[in-house]
Amino acid sequence: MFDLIKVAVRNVGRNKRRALITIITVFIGVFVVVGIRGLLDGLQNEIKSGLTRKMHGDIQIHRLGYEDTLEANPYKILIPYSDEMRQILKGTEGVVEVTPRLKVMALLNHQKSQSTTPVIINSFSSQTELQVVPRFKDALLKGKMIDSSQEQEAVTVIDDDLSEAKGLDEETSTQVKGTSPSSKTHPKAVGYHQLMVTPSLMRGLHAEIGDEVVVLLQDKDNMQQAIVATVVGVVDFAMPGAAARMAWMDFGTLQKAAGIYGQASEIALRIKDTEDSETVRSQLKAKLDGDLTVQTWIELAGILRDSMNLQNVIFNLVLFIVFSIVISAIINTSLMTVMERTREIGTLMALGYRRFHITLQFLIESTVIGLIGGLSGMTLAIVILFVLNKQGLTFALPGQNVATVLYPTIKVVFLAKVFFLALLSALGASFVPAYRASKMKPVQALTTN
Amino acid sequence: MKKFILATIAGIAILTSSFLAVAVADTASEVIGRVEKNLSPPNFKAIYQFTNYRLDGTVGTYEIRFLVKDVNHSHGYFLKPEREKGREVLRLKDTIWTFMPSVARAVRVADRESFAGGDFSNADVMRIDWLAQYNPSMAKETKNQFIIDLVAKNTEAAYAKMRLWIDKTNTQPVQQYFYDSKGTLLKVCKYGSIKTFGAVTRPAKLVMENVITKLKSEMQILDLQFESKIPDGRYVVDNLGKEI
Repeated sequence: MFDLIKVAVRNVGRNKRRALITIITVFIGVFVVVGIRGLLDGLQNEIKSGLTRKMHGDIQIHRLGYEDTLEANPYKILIPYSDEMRQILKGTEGVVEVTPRLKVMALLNHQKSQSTTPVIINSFSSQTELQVVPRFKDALLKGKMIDSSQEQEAVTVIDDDLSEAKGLDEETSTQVKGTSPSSKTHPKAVGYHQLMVTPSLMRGLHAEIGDEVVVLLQDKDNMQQAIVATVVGVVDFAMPGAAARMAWMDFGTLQKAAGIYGQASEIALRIKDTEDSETVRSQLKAKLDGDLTVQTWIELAGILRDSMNLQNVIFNLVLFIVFSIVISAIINTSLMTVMERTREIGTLMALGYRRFHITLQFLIESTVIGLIGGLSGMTLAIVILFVLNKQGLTFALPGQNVATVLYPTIKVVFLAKVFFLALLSALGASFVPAYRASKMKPVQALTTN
Repeated sequence: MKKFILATIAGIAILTSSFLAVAVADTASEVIGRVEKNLSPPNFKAIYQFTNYRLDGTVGTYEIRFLVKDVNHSHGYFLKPEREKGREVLRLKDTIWTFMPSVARAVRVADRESFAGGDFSNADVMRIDWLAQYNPSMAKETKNQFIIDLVAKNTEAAYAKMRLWIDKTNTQPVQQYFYDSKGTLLKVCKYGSIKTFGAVTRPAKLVMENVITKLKSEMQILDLQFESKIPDGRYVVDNLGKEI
């Protein structure tokens, strides 16, 4: 057997040019496949990390119909969030941290420019939010994050304007100009409330960090409320699905303004291992009311999930095409070799080689070619991916303000798969020529020119 | 004897001040009651014009025909502009509905939502039943005006507090402030052009200024006539979009 391998290896070197071309074909095939998979894994990891560690968290809990009702009636889809609820959720195996969020629709008025725009206010508690989505900080373009401990509740003010009023008829300018502000100044209930906005809101409002804004909202009883806040940061998730008209506030502040206690719009959870999200989801569902939904990050991914699935389909197609080319090259090489060495096959058979030995020899020759090409292609791809993983690959997607940094990575399981696929391709491709060679009759083979 | 006279005088003084206090408390409710009666009389039809002045200099004008049975039943039909013609609003007890002819559907809207895209809310236009929703108290009585604070007494109210300036001579509103629960002033409404429409005399022009956004809207009554023959079917949600 060892002799057979020795002869096979020596035979590979007999026609160096042809062997090199075949090895290069396998090399390129494996290099391309491993390289693309590495970049794709890096991209998909970034998307996943963006979703789970920057935006959503691993798991979210909502009331049924949350997505359809949020904008129309945010107070209709509130879910209980108390210390007891928090303990129940944190006590679930695999859950690391829990954070509540409250979302309401509001009007955001920039006092300096007097620009007003409708927004979704998303509130969170900085103590727990950053433990569930630690990469939220990466989305901060300018300024600083909201610090819940710095919030100061506004003290109720009393308007002491009790002087006689002038009606329209008495006022000197009864002509309404539309933009003329009220001449009197009135006290505003001002505490210290922090607000972060998206870049598009910042541009739209002509606002700057430190500017004063007023958030106008209706509380749960439909009563109009105003919160005077300071713009402290600009946040850009640079992810599809992130709302452009979004502002962030402190959870406790918004709860008080909206008159909501012990409730939230959604609860986000971080779990030990994202891969266990389905198991944790099942445990949570068993503990919660039936009208609460528990969604994993992959369900929340929406268009990104579809995009990742499409990427995988395209990759598999590329894999198929590349290996088809590799197989064709090996078949071609093997067939040429068999044709060239017909007399040699006849001699070997005349000397007592069995048909099995002939087949095996050709299979070993192809395997050696496959191994040399495959392993060298894989090694180069791994080295390049390793370097890129250490340095990070920075690029910006169209329409993004923030550059995305990819860290290509490759799974050992995938490398093993490619290795065996290359080996199997070499074996499979050479099987027919090898079989054909073994079926030759020694006399005919020896008389062939 | 001297002590008896002093005690009698003191007793009369205490009684008088008590009566006066009651009288003042009653006055706040009474005054608001009279204002409400003028602003929201029963059985009339009217044409209102709303003008919204925007920051970009554009002006939007809407003309609406209102049919009012009482404080719980009123109906508005948009006459102008052509694009909005056929839109309807209906106040039915505690609910407000809007009918959009483009989709032929009636949708329930909130009191707080903007009326015709301006600075008046639906409640400001179609829900003047302050005494039912607010507790009135006399904040100050000046030489010419009553200044009355109205504090929300239930969650139905659209504002946590309102302050109303009322002319003593004719019991007509002059100015109104709208506050949130922390005391921040949200809107100011100015009243003017007092006119008599049949048995009712009331301001025919209101200008609402949003103090936060600095936007203004104007409401003007172009015509108001008392009419008791409005069919009850007009105040039915299912009849929105239909001729009655």
